[in-house]
Amino acid sequence: MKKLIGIISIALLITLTSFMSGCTSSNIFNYIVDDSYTDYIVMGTSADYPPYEWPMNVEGTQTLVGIDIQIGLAIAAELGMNLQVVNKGFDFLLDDLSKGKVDFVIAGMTPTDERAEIVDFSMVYYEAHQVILTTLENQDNYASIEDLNLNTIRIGAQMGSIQLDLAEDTFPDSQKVYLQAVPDLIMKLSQGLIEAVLLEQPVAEGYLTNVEGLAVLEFEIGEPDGGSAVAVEKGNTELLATINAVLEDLINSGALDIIVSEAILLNSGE
Amino acid sequence: MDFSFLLDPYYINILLQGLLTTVILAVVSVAFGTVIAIGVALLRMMKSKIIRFILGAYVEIIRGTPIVVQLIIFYSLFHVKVILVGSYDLSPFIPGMFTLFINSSAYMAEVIRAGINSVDKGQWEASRSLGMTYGMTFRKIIFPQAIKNILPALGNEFVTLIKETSVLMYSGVAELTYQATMIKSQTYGFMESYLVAATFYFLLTYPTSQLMKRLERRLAKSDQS
Repeated sequence: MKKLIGIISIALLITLTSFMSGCTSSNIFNYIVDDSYTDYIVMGTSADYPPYEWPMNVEGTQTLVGIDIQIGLAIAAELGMNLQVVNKGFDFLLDDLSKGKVDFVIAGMTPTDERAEIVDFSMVYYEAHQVILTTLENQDNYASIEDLNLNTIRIGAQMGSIQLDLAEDTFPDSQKVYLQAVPDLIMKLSQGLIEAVLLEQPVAEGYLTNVEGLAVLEFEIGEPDGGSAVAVEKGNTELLATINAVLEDLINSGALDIIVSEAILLNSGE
Repeated sequence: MDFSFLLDPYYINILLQGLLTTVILAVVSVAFGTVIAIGVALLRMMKSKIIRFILGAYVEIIRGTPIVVQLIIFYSLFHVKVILVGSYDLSPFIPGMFTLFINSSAYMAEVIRAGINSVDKGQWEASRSLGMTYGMTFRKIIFPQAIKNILPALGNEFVTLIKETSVLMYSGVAELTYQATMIKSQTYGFMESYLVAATFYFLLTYPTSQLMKRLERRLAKSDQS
């Protein structure tokens, strides 16, 4: 019994010391907007979706960068708070938001009717087309939707994304592969385990420049989608009004165009 | 295959921090899990049928459902706000830790129960007939013999748990697998980062299981004399 108590206390000690030492790398990223601000507003995101958000080495520390982080920073500045970004799997984000674990979610998320039932959405800040990413060698085999809508073709999309619904509607006969993270889909694509991945255009462009042997098909699918919006907890109209004001300002002043082109450039590694 | 990111101290640092978190998760959940497991195992030996039924159901349900599902359920049950302690975000950490030690407690309760049952029934009868009380028999006669069967199995449970901590990445705990995905998003080396993570896991589990084997041999020595 004494030994057991000893082991437990050692375990607790290790935990405590490591908590105290405070490693820099976790799933929480703090952004100091202004030294005079004391409070943090908490933003949820899923950092596997360049150019919206992805992890990057900034002066030796792992930081999240991208379009959505810049928007989050603008919102935090307007509220007079610092920004705390929480990184999770995409399908956990809305659950976190509706339980009040985070204040708002920006993750390249498209407002759909189903999602709008559990959270409230801001105005759309960025609209993107949906494209099909495939490999260079297969590029010429797929000239139309019919070429892909076969039961021998495997179509990939991110779990919980609108591309998933799009895949269901556009390719009813194909096999579907849904994974939690987009990079895993790209890995399967390069290994020939799936034939095509549905992605938003800027996301697909990012992979084109960073991974060899990929190609985007000529034809587009679906309607140009509803775009990306910021999600807040249902009924939080005060925060929503502030966010809408910030977004309107960013769009009208042209600042958002700069943010988007800078993020795409940063992601292409140039 | 491009493993050049391993030469960059930035990525090594990220991986080592993930590794540290994984070790902390495994050690703490084995420690707490053992305490609960001992309680569960002892209570299951009681005469009351209701207690035995409840604890039996607990063990069977936890052992009979996948840990990922348990994690998601506990994650939605716990309403923990995002609180930073050191660099750990408690909102996924607490439900994650809870899942791990609940899960390991069920497996270990079975290990402990089996260990106690493995001691010959005659030992109970002999010491009881010598006038020892029930508690005394357990502490002085049964438990010292049972622990020999229990310890190696507990070690294996620890090894299993090191691997199972990887499911916590889904809810955003910054352990080894999580950090591997983060590196993957930066280097675009999809398979490489996971291969490195797998190597790290193996470097943790292999020495642990070897250590347990040596312990097992040492404990077996006293049997021969």
